[in-house]
Amino acid sequence: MIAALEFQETTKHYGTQKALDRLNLSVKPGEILGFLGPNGAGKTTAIYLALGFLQATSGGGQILDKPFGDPAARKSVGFVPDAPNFFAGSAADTVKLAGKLNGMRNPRLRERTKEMLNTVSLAETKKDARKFSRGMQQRLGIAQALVNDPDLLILDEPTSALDPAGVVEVRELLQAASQEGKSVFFSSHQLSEVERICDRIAFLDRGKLLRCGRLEDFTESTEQVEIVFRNLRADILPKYQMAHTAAKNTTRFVAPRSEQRRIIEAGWTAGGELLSVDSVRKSLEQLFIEWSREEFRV
Amino acid sequence: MKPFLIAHRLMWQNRWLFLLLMLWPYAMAAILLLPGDKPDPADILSMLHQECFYGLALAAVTASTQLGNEQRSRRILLVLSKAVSRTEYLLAILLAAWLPLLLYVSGFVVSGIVLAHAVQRPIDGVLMMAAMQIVLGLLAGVIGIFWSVILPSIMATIAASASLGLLFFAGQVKMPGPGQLLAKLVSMRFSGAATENPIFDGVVTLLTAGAIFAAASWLFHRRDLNLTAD
Repeated sequence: MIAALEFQETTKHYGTQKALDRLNLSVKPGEILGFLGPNGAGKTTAIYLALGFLQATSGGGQILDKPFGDPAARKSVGFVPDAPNFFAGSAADTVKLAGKLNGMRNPRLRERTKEMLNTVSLAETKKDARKFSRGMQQRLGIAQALVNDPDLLILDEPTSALDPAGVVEVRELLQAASQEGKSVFFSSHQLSEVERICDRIAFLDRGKLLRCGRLEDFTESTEQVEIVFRNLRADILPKYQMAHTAAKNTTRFVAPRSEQRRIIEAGWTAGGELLSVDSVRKSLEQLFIEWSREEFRV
Repeated sequence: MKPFLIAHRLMWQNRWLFLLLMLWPYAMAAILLLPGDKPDPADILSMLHQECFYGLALAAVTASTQLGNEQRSRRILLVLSKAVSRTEYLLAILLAAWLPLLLYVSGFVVSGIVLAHAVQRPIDGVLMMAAMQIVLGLLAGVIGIFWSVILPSIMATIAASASLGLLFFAGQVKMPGPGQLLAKLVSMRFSGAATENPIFDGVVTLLTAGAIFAAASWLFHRRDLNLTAD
């Protein structure tokens, strides 16, 4: 399977500063890959390299089976910058220009423009796009990126200026795009959104890829378990007891995996009914903070 | 087609400035004609030469600042993320600098003809100056673009102006090509005299512009856009 986007040992230096260090990463067709990392990690640099705005110091990569920066490949790519800035003109003018630059012609261009402006709720706006609010500009950025029905969507912080309803709209758009077989590569600090929609995540820090894989593989802890009992008649192992819910008469324990057997036996001895035994899941936020710390660097 | 689409948007950004410049030759002609007395032909010729200089400056300044402006505003990202090559983008900038010059020159021609008639002089010189402006304007635009690829806007404008100055000097020492064309432009008479071999110089000027544009495009393809990246 040919990757929609592939970084191959991609390195970028700004003078003596290493912005990206031998990045190897691929986005498979139809998948949504969340690109995470603290500010200054090199996410935008990677995106700019893929689109050909910057030249790699060494290494390179492929975008839709063409070298980075190939204009022919960009015909099937949609890009939303973090803070889109438009030429003078209405939202419709902006979307039409994007379509024309990608070789689209009427009547398809007219239809897609209308469809996209309806999707981002800008169909009725006649105002100059430069005078839009940040949220409206971001929605227009998404519309102009989708007008050519791209195979690969690259989004740099697409929801940073959106209200909750706008965030939900974007989430649905990205999920729909993925279901249609399009690949989505997006950087975001909205971790809850990443958790909801990404098939895989890649975590970058100081130009290095620290983690890449399915979110479940990272959020599931191999070290701790969560055990839930109902109807425990006595307090057992208070050290590991985390919560008691009176209404349901359930007791929750979180303990090292090595203690799992002892807790279960103690619970049964105390007349409890074992409801569940699960691995403890970490939130993406916890992971983000952990990975950003020095001691977790690999 | 794509360069025209982009150029249209770029020109629209500066539409009021271009409109003002387009009206400039008419305003100057009115100043000379309004007092009622027949203007001095030498004054008219001097004014036409000045207008030629302004036309070339318009092309050079517009071309040398456009790329920097577009990078600073990051509008360039939304254009170059589409199926647009960097050569097409530079061509768009050139068109956005040169097409307003055509408008300006149209005003120059009309007002020049009116002035030439007012002093009963032939219009050949006015037409020659217009044609030379169009050709040299293309070169001025390309020079501006070349410097803007490698230098920040202000430096590029200074470098472009200095380059035109050097060309003028080359013309003074009888070096054929754009220098000669520039020297002939500023010494042009109403009769169209001082235009020995203008076609040859015009062709050399266009070839020079093509070579500089190719060099600018080659460089631009190999350079990072000037963006503050995360």
